[in-house]
Amino acid sequence: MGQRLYNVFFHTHTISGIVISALLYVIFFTGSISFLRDEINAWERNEPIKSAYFSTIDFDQALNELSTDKPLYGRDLMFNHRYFERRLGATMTKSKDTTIQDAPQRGRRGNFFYMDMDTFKKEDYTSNYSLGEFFYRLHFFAQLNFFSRSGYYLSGFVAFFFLFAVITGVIVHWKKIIPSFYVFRPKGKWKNIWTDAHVALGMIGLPYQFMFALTGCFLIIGYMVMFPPVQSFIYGDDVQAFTKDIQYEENPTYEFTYQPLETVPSINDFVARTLNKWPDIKLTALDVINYGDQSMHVKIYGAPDFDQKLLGTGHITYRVQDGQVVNTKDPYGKISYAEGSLNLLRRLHYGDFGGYGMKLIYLLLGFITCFVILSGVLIWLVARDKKHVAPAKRIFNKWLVHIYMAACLSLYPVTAATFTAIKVFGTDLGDTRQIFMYHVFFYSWLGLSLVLIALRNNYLINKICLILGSILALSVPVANGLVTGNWPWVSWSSGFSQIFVVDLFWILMSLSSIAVVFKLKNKDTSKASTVKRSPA
Amino acid sequence: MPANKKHLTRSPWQRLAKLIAGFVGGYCITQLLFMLILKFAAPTETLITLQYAGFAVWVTLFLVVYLVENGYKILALYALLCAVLYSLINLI
Repeated sequence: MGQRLYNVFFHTHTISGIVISALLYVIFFTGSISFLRDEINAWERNEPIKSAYFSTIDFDQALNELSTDKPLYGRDLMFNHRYFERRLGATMTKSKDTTIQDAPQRGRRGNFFYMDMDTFKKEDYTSNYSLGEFFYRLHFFAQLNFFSRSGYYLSGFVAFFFLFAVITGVIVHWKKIIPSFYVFRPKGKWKNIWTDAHVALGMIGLPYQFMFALTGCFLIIGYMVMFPPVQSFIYGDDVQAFTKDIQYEENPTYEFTYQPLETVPSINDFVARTLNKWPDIKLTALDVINYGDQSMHVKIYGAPDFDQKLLGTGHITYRVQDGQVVNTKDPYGKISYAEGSLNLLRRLHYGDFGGYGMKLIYLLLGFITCFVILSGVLIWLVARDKKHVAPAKRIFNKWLVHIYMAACLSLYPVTAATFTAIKVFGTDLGDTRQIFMYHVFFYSWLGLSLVLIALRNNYLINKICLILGSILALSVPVANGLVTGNWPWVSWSSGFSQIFVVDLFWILMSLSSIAVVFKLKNKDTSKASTVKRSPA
Repeated sequence: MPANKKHLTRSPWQRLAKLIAGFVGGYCITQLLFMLILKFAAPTETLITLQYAGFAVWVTLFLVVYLVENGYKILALYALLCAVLYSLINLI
């Protein structure tokens, strides 16, 4: 590669990187937290569940409870265990018997709700809002959907330019990529420290980062950005034909007969039959179609656990009237390219294919990526902090980096504070849960960032965030212990692994950040406005 | 360490041309390319491939733009490519 191209790609790497840096940091930080999404919800609500939870659910009782609300005849009811929580996502359609009319429903999500499968209590989206959901949705900027899906587009294009930055980074470092990997000069100039760290950690995280950039684009804007032109030019805006073509499986419909069943048999039996057929399968969803009609069917979905099989899902449909199996897809069968690739992209992104060990590796690599982003910003600053650069520009650069550092690093204490706050004050919030979380998180983030920016000292910003973070992180398990009595040793001995994992996570965060604080040395205070931060 | 300016494109119009060629042009070519493939290949597999690999194709086309010195030339080339792909789709 010639001089010109090297410099050109260097420049595109710098520009694409600096433009997305702070946003990408937020995505990686909150995304890393979201690896524990379901555990966080179990922790927040003090509702831990065991691994085969789905098979213990009494669906007959659940339907019974629902029927006290509205007659179920002719409706489809879908229960979805996408998130591993006690509360299942549930959808109840209108009755196909047109003589049954519902009172008008409020809101867009009128027929969607959550149901606690231990108590059969119903919750709507806002009253069910949770910390896990908050951080999960923040990692694709759902809270910024001010203009239709602006937040999704923003996060999607950040992912796209991240892909660009990853590839240009490899191009720029290609020639010296092996020797640079082994270079670390902690006693050198700041520019060298940041560069060495950026290159070495960027290299370690390269496959991970490339994978996240691509799967991130796919998951959040794959449909919205890639499909509209095809749908309108090739399919002439025939949504039905297009939708049929992007699905790899046909979904049979069952004609409604208007002839009620005399008695509705137990749904639980069908669950038991399914587990009899595939004993090692993890059940994920259950659909009841045309409830109470002679055309009533029960469809049960499941997938083998990751230690048996990486990809593929299956389902089985029973005709309730005579208990016959009418449709099956073997979860252990051959997987098509379409299903396999979609499954694989999701698996890779969620990191749910190796238990907690894999999630821990993902989490660490996520924090390492945060470090790569910040060290990149600091290289950018230090490389421009030269005498020949115009003073106005240098001041601008400094302020920009102060703002970046303050906004990014304060996420750690603010996140810990939000966890503690929701544990202490969050028991009876009802419909105001979401608002409460937004207020606590966003106002404290704004407040702390402003205070830190005012310090105008990156070393102090970092140190304060670490100290504050480690105190607040430790307060998370303490708050949980005081409020619920589930101290880590209690949840460990009671087998509440979900709760234990969250407490352990915060304890480890606290310990590692305090260890870093003691290691911090403000090297060359007079000149250095920047300081190293551990990825943990 | 900032990139040596003497190797970079200075003219804002040139830079805009490159950005449009890479971002808009790259997207259009990706779309048209997959539409052409859709004429021959199985629709489900093609569409699902587009949904993720489309971004890889797009970003590659974006990068290729910066290999070329003259922004107008690459913009014209991408426009020509779009025209060729478009007429191929309509002819087949």
